Amino acid sequence: MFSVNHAPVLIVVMLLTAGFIVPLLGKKMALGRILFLSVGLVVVVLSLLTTFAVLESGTIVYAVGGWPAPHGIELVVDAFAAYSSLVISVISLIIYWFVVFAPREVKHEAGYYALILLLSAAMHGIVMTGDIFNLFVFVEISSLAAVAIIAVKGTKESIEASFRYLMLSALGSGGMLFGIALLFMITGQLSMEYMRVALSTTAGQYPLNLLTALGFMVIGFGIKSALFPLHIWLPDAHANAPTGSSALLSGLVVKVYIIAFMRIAYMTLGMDLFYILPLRQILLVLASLSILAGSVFAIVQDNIKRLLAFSTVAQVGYIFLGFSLLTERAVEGAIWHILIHAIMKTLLFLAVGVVIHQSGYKKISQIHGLARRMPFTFACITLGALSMVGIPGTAGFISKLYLALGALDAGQAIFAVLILASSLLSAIYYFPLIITAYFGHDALPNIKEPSLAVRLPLAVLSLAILFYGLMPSMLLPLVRQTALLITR
Amino acid sequence: MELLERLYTNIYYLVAVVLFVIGFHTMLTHKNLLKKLMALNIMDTAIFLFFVAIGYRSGGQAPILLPGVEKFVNPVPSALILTGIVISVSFTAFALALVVLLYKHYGTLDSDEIIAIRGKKHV
Repeated sequence: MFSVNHAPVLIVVMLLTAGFIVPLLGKKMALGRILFLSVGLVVVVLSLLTTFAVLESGTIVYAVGGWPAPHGIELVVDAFAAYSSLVISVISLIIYWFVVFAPREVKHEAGYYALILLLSAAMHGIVMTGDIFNLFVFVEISSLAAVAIIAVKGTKESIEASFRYLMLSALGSGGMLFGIALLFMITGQLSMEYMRVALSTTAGQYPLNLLTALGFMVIGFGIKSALFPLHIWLPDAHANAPTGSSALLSGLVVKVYIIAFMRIAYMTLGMDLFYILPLRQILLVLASLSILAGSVFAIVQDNIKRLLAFSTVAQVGYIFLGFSLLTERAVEGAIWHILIHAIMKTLLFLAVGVVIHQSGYKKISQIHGLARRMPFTFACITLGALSMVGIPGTAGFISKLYLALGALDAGQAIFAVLILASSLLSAIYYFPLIITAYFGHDALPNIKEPSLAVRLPLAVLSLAILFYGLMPSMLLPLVRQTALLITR
Repeated sequence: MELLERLYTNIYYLVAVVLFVIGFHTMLTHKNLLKKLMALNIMDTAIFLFFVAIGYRSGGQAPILLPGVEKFVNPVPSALILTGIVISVSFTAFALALVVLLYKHYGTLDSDEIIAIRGKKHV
C-alpha cells in the first residue's frame, strides 16, 4: 500500500540505491543512463506528491524504521523541506539531462553518475531530516560527493581546487560536529524538535555553551555555504569543475547548507534566540560583505566561469541577508532566491559550459562576436544575465523586490540600498560578457550551436526565468507557508 | 585554586580543546599537505574525545542491565562517534588519494610551491 507519507524516505533511498547500482552495470552504459534519468524523474514526481500533501494536510513526520523520536530518526517534512526538496529534484533533473546528452568531460561516466546521485540523495536528506546527527552524516556525504564531482575532471587545476575544498570542508564539518556536541551536552537530545523543547528551559543556564555552539555552527556552515571571508575555496572549485558539476554546486549544493542552517536555527534554537544572541547582527554584516565582495571580485575576472563563481558568493549573501533580516517579506525573498538563483546560475553555467566546449574560449576577451555563431546559447546567457541583474519581467526581479521590501519592513533602508547597489555592480560585470559576444569583430566560422538535446535544458531554464518573472504566483502559497514557519 | 580544581574535573574537555588547537595550528602553519592532513585528523580526534567525554561518568559501567550495577556510561555519544570515525576515515582516504594525484601533477607536496606552479593570484 503506497501512502504519500513514504514518499520523502523513498526519495533518499531510491537515489542512494541507484547511486550504487549505476556503476555496477559496467559496460551497459545505455541502461545506466536510462536508470539515471528515470530515477531523477521519479524523484521529481515523489517530491511533487510530497509537496501537495504538505500543502493540503501539514507537516509529514516519518519515523524511519518505525522508531519515533527521541530514540529513532525522523524525517520532518514541513513546507520548507518540501519546497527545498522540490527545487533540488527539478533543477537536478535538468542537470542530469544535460550531463547525459552533453559532450563528455569525464572519463568514468558511470562513476560520475553515481557521485551525482549520491550528492542528490544527501541534499534531499539534509533538507528533510529531523535529527541533528543524521543531518551531520548527510552533510558529510554531500561534502565528499561535492568534492569528488570536481576532482573527476582530472586536470591539474581541478585536483588542486578540490583538495583545498576538501580540507576547508572538513574544517567546516569539524566545526559543525563541535557545535552539535555542545548542543547535545546541554540538552541530551539529538532530535531537533526535542532539542528545542529542552533548550527552551535550559538555554538560560548555559549561555556560554550555546554561544560557543553557535559560533562553531556559523563557522561550519559559513565555510560550506561560502559566506564572505570563508568563501576562498569557492571560485577555484566552481570554476574548474566539469560543466554539470559547476551547475550542481553553484545552483544547489551551496544553498542546501544555508537551508540546513536555517532549519537548525528555527527547529532547534527557536527564533527567539536569533534576537537574544548577536547572531542576527553577525549574519547581516557577513551577508552584506559577501554581496559587496563577491560583486567587486567578479568585476575584475576575465575567466567567465570564475566570474560566475564570484557572482555565486554575492548571491549567497542575498539569501543570508533575507534570512537574517527576519521580516516576513525578506524571508520570502530569500526563499524565492533559493529557487530563482538555482535556475539562473544553472542556466548560466550550462550555457557557458556549452560555449567553452564548442569554441574552446574561456575568457571574455576571447569571445568577440561569438553570439553570431551561437545565437541561441547567447540568447540564454543574456536572459540569465538580465535576470541576475534584476530587470523587471525576469525572475531575478521578483526575489530582489521581496528582499528590498523586506529590508524596508525591517526599518533598515541601508540594506535596500545595498541590494540596489549590488544590482548595478552585477550589471557592470555581466554586461561586458554580452557586449563582447554581440558586438566586436566576427568569430571563426566553424563554431556551431550544440545538438538539440543539449539546447533543451537551456530552453527549459530560460522559459522558467520568464515564467516566474511574469507570473510568480504559482509557488506563492508554498513560499508564504515556509516564511511563516520561520518568522512565527 | 578554584580554577585549577575546575580544570581538573573537566580534564577531558580541556585536553580535547588543547588537541583541537594543536591540530588547527598545525593545519594553518605547515606547508606540507600530508602534515595538514594529519593535523585535520588530530582535530577530528579532539572533537571525538570531547563528544565521548560528554557521556562518560567516572566509574560507570557499560549500559548492560545486570544486577548490582547502577552507574552507567551514556552510550549515545560513543555510538555517534563510531559514525564520526568512519566519516573521518573516508575523508582521509579520499584526501590521500587527491594528494597522490597532486604529487603526480605537480611533483611536490608543498602547498606554496603548488600555488607558485599554478602561477595564479588567489583572490
